[in-house]
Amino acid sequence: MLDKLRLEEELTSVEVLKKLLVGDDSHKMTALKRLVGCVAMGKYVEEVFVDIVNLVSSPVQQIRRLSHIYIQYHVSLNEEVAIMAISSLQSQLLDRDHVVRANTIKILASMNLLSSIPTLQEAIQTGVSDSSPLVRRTSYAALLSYVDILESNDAYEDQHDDFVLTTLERGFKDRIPFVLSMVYSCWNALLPDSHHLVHDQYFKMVKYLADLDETGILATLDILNRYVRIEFTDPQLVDADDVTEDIDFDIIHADHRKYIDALKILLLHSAPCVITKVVEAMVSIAPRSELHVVVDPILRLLRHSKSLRPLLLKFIEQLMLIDPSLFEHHFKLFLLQPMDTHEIARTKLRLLAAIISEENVHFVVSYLFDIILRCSFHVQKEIVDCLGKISFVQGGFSQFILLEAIKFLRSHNLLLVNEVLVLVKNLVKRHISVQPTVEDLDANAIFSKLVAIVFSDTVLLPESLVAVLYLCGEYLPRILHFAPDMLRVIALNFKTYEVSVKLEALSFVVKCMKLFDPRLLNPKKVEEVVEEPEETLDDFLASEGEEEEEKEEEEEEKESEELVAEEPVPEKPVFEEPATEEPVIEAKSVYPDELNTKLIQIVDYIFRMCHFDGNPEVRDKYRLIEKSLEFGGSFIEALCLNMPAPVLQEDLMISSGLLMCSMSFHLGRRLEDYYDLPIWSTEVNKHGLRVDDTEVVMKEDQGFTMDDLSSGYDDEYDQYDDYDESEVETDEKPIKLVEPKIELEKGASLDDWLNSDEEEEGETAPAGAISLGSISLPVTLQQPTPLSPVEVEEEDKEDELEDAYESYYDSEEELE
Amino acid sequence: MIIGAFVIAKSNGDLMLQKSLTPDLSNEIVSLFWRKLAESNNYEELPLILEFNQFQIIHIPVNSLYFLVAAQNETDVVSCISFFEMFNEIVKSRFSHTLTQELINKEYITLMLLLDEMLFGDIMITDSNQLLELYPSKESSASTREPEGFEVQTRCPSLVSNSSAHIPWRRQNVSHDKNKALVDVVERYDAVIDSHGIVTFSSVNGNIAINSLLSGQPDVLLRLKNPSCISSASFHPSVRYIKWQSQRVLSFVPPDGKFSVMRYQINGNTQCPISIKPKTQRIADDKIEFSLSVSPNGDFSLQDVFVKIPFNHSSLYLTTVGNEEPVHRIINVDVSSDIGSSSYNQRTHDFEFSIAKLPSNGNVQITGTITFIQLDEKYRDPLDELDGIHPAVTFLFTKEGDSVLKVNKMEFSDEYGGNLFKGVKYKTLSGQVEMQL
Repeated sequence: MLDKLRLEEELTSVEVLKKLLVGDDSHKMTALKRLVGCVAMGKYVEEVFVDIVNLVSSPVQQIRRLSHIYIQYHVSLNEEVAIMAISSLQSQLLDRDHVVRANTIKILASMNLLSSIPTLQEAIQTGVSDSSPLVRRTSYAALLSYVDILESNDAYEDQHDDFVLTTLERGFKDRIPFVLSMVYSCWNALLPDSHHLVHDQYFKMVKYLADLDETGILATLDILNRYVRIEFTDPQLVDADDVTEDIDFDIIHADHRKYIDALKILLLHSAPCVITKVVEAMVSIAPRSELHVVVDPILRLLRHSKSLRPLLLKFIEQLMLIDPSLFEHHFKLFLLQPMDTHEIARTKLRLLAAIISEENVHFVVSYLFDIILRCSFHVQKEIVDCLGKISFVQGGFSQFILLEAIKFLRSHNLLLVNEVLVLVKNLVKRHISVQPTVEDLDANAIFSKLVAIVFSDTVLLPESLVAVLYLCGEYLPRILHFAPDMLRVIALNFKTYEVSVKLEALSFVVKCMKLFDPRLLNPKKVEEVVEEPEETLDDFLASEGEEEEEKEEEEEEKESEELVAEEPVPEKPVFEEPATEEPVIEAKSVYPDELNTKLIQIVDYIFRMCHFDGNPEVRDKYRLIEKSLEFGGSFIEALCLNMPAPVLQEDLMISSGLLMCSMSFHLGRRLEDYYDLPIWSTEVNKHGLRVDDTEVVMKEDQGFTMDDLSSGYDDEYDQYDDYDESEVETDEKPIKLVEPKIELEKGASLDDWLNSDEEEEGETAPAGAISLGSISLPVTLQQPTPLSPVEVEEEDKEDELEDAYESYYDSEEELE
Repeated sequence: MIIGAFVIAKSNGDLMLQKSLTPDLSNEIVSLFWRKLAESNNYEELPLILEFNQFQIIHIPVNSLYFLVAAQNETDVVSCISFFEMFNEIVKSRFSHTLTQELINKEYITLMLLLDEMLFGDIMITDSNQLLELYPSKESSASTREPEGFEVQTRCPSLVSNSSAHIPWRRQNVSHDKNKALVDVVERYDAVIDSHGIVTFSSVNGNIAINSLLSGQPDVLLRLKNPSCISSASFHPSVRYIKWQSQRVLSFVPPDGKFSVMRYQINGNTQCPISIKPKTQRIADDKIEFSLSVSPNGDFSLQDVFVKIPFNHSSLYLTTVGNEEPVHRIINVDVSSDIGSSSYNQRTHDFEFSIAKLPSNGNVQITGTITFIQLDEKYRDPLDELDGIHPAVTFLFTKEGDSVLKVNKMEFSDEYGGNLFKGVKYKTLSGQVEMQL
């Protein structure tokens, strides 16, 4: 039908509609249905507006309801047509049907029109004292629009403040949770600062909390959180100051405690938004020691609701910042699943890295290496990141991670190899010394794997090759016997390398030269040069006639390398101040003379290729080296500096300090209308303004105490109503147990059946509770002295019973 | 205003149904959303909250449709998403059908009326019973009605009268010819199983659903046999939380009709009902042989066993910067097994195998050969890296007294007589069972 309207435009043409609207009721219905279709599709048909306004007083209710939808949409878009409707709507405010009254208020509130304000104000005034809860609730919702319209037209004045306040104060007296929810929501939106109003309402709000609907609960928690922080002191401070066994009762104010208890009950609510809001509230106002109650509800939501998963993981992350031990035993929930999106996988891995402890580190690390090949590249990258973080936190495990990671260097997945190399590079730098020792056979194995990468003729990303060359250069003493061969391979493949690889290869060559080249083994002392290296360099560069360019490039190079120093990316060494003293090199080559000569030839060959290289950067670097060699290798040192091992910056997770349920928290920035919680009061306000009238009422009526906090809705039947006393159903007569007839039909005796129901029943039934507590009373009365029934028999009997039930159940279904 | 506009959009980018509370936002939202979607070209990777100058768009997909909400400024994000889910459930309970394009086409009038009641300034009414009173569904109303039409009830008791509005989930004056209450306990079993067949993680997610067909204002007490096993639970608003906290019983005045009274989660290692042992072996340059042995554990009886082996993991792909291309392509999968049927999905590279009923004593052996073709020979042979196959399994299982949580009995307020509790139906399904072998 909707598609038909979309495709066949003549169905909604003005002529056709006008014709239909002058016809009888069924024609009018047809026209209205088409018009509602237009509204549903966001189409604007204002030509028939006047005709539709006339229909609001139609005797047919369907017609009236549909015309409301049409009118509401159009008045919100067009101010001119809105004016036409006001007078017709005024009469509707007194309609017999409460839905019509409510809808009329909605329409009036939808007009963004200053001239409609008096009518709206009047409608709200009468609406809030309407007998129908629906109309009352709608009126309070309209109050929000009322203020909105005034503010958007810059016409909000003090007199309006009074109106809002008196209307809200009337709302506080309402006893229907359905209405009260909207009153609180309205209050929270319009007067967030008015914490003096809470004094009178505090106990009522805390008590009815669980009975409100979701909108109401969210608003009430907002109001109460702010109030509690202004009125009471920070429980955390108390926790930290003197940790004694019985702190809670003495130090947290009794009224504050009542609110915390009510919050804990709310964790049984079925709506996810309530649970998350309660978590936020617990974080804001409860002592840290009680935060653990939110763990299970949050994890239940996490498994239950797929669409909420990314948000909930953010919640967990935030909670872990507050108390890292909260989710320690639940780390298996953060294992990756095949359906996880990139974003979810990333958060989960971040959580895993943060949750790591000595007990679970082995499991997590093995798990991550298990799944790494099955993941998409983006996730692989995150996994490698996560492993890096774990190796920082659990230093003792680095060796294991390193050895496992090395295995992935031969993967054909080039990006993975590249990522793994970053990890390997960092781990090697942190845990393996430059000079080989006798024990670390593992380290030697690692280096032979790395060298093998250079020798193999498989494809590698240039970045990976740079990283390998860099590592080999840094740890030359460990690969002495491989170095000549590596030089040979480099000379062989030099032409095919990318520029970045060529540059790194040059550095490697220079580092190697320190092992055998006589020019570097016995450097000439040229003191002036050492004192004024800049000038010499400049002169040298000037002689080449490319001074400016050179300088710039040098600087660029330095800059880029400084950047590299911050991030653990495998690149060239950094020109920083020397980190370690270079070992004093013996003035004799480490290789035999014959090999030495060949090596010098190879190096010369590589240098010659650089000299004629197509890329200026390579030529420049070569010239620097060449000139440097002439001056006794003083600049060479700069090329061979050891880079310090990277340090983990403490940015595993950062707390934004924003409220967890807010949009700002999820966007990571403060929105304009983000409303911060006040800071904790330094002392408890002992003005006694909070009046606990709920307790008085309850005691008078039913003999309850405040121990039966909210959510025992049956206990409060009588108190809600002050409008229609005649309809109140009291629930005072105790409900008796239904006699289990079905069971008797099946041949078992009543006593047996009662016995199977465990003794707890009699014991736990409270004497004071009227409604359901007393259900079990007849049972205990009839029950003979407790036998000691054999459990096996019991179970058999119950299984039989269940079978009987089931068959009965099935037959019922068949009948249906 | 919390919600600026609510839009249901088709998967081709058309606006399907809108309810805007701020003028003319709907069309803008849809076009902005589509632009973002086109930019990211994969819906899965689109952030949940899209940020724009004037507002934020929150979106979730539902049956090839998209629900979009424009939230202006500070809003509770979770409540927006809850609203989507609530709307979806109300539609489901009302039309006994999930929300689809066809349903919207047919029932747009009712949906518009519902949305009109559900959203105004703030989220207004979300209780399905209250909505049912305002707009009774066809099944619940016996009076004559218009074709394609809707019913209007002049008097909606719980919203009119103050006395009953404290139990907003139950209509007044409900009457049924025959009083009865049916209880279903449905549990889902999730697990991760490691290479040694040990359950590394498992949990049971359960739901107690009640179909209450009781006249008047019944007060029901549901006793559980073993409530202590529950690690966390949530309840329908009708359940008295206090009673649960103190006595571990469910005491409530039920809404009329079907509802879920309790959802719960049970943690702790339980026995996995199925055991699967995969094995792979390379028999030629381009062939891999695999075998799977599937057998039930203990005395579980397993039905509808569905094994899925994904062959799309990255070890079969060459990954370089910017693109992923397969190095190998599976050209054929030959499978032989005693029972069951198998298929290979060329698009998703999933091998799927299903067995209607697993024999209770023996195991099922599946053997197969996968034939590959190497597309680019200059790269290393990635089949070396194929570290085994990693099946994901779903199944339906029943066992004597199968569910973990059991209902003991149900008691009713005395005006209902005895014969109302028709017993409990237990059903246990597998949720996500993943083998990390």
